[in-house]
Amino acid sequence: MWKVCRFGAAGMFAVGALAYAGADTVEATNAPHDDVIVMLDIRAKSGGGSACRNDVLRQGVGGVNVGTNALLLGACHGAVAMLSANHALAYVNDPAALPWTNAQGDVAHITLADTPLRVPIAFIVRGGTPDIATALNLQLAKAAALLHDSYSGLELAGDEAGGAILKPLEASPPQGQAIGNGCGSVAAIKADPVIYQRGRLNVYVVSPVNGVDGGTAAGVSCFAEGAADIIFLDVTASLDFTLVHEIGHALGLVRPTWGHTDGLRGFRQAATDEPLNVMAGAKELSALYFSVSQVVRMTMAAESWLNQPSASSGTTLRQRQSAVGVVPLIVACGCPETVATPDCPALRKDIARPYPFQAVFADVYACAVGVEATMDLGCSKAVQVTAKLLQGAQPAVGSGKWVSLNPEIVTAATSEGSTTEGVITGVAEGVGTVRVWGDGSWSTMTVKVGKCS
Amino acid sequence: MFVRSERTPRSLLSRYARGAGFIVTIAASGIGCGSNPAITADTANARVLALMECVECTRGERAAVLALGQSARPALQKALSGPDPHRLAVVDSSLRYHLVPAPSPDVIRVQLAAYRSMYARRASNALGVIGGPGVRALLCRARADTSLTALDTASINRAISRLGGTCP
Repeated sequence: MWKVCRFGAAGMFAVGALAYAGADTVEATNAPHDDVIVMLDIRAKSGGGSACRNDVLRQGVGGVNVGTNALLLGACHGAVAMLSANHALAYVNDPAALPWTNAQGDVAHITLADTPLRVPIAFIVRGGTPDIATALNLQLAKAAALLHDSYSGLELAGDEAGGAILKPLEASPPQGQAIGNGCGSVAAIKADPVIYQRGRLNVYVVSPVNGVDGGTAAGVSCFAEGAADIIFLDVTASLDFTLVHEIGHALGLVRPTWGHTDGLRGFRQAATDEPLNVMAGAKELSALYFSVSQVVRMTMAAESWLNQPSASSGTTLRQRQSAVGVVPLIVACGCPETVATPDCPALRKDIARPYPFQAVFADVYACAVGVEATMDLGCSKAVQVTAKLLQGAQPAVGSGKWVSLNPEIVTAATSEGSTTEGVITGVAEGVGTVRVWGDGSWSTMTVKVGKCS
Repeated sequence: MFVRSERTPRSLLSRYARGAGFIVTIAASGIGCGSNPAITADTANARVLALMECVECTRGERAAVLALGQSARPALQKALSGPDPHRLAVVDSSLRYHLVPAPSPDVIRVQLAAYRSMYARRASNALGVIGGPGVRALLCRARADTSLTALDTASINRAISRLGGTCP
């Protein structure tokens, strides 16, 4: 196993503590020597008055200089997020907990969690060979390094106490059959407690991994199938960062454009124009970083698996680790990449990096899906349904996916060759739910299936 | 803002989907039929590259290549033998990035083989669907490459079977 290289955050300008006379500061009370990135929502002087300034980014060691006098918040939103490599992301948005006054020299003391947020992961291998083990180890090392160097505050581990990741389980032939080659096997996988455990990311290493259109994929996350904790990975036909890319999807990096950042504003590329962000969807040769906003989303966004119930008690992983100082606040994030919400920066928000911005695609990507909310359907009847992909009021493009959450009552399939049409079929009397996806955003249809003759 | 018309297959597909219908477009372009003279080599190369290097391939990369019909064949034939030297070199050097100690030569070898396999398997799959005169012979020649992994060879065999034949 490789260790993480400690030469600094990937692709980041080396920045020491910034000095601004009279400015307020943010200090990590229990990590005075750690490199940190701080993102702030404050009120500050502007011209002759004041203005709200959101998502201000600063970097430093053990804390940062805010670079200005943060004033009493007034009507402004106040927040401090602190990112570091070795501690879970800290976030404070309670105005009463923030020290800002109209005087200079205020200090916000942030107590970081004792450890990173531990993300349990396990590997189930079908048809293991020495080369598969070698490739898998490399993917795991790369994932750990990229999460560390991006200051994600996330650590892949064998369990939530930080235990070592176990040697991959070799699937028996029946287990291998249940695992299959893609997200169509989610139900069969979940039915076998040997090969699937809640509370961890279950990574199935198989070849091939089925793509969406009859082709093959390097890896897939079953996020759209309601199983963010299930990942398929083909280590025999992929690049070394595919695992960490799929982990990004599992942790909620799914929109717009299914979380893929190539073509989006604010992301970086190499001089030879290959994208450098971990979540690029194609033509990437060297994944260098998660952006600051991606890190915030992976930990805090409602979509992230870390914030979905993942134990029989109904608790989330972040709730279970709150004892070590992880505050399980969940936030709503915006779409597309230019839209911020009060507690979640726009996806394009990032620190400076020494690479050019990538070229931007002209497409309007879907951030919402319009579809009938309810439908009555006869048993054994199939109907074709069309969804509208939207960004605000604008028609948008995107790849659709139709997923039944109750396949015993109603099935759903994406029409071949279409991004917006699906076929819904009644299977048994009852009420089922179909989730209609467009580029990582979704709407729900409630389908009432009549009596079967 | 740049418009990446040929660097973003989804842009093309989106236009198809918004127009007369994607399926119709594929049929008109003629899978298994002759080359489409309107398709330039750059277009074909860009679409094939996108297919070779997509992660989940959710943007219709495969359909965009299949829609090219025989026009995709030269680029797919090239892809069958793996990434171009520049891309291999970039991946080779990037494998060491972030990691201390650097991966051993054996690890590098395995990972570069996995990168080449993305190409070999996706190209053989697409060629098996597109078909046409000489494709089977092309796949048979490719199969003789001793640097291919067993899974690559199996993928080529499936493409040959799809074309209804065996190698001489």
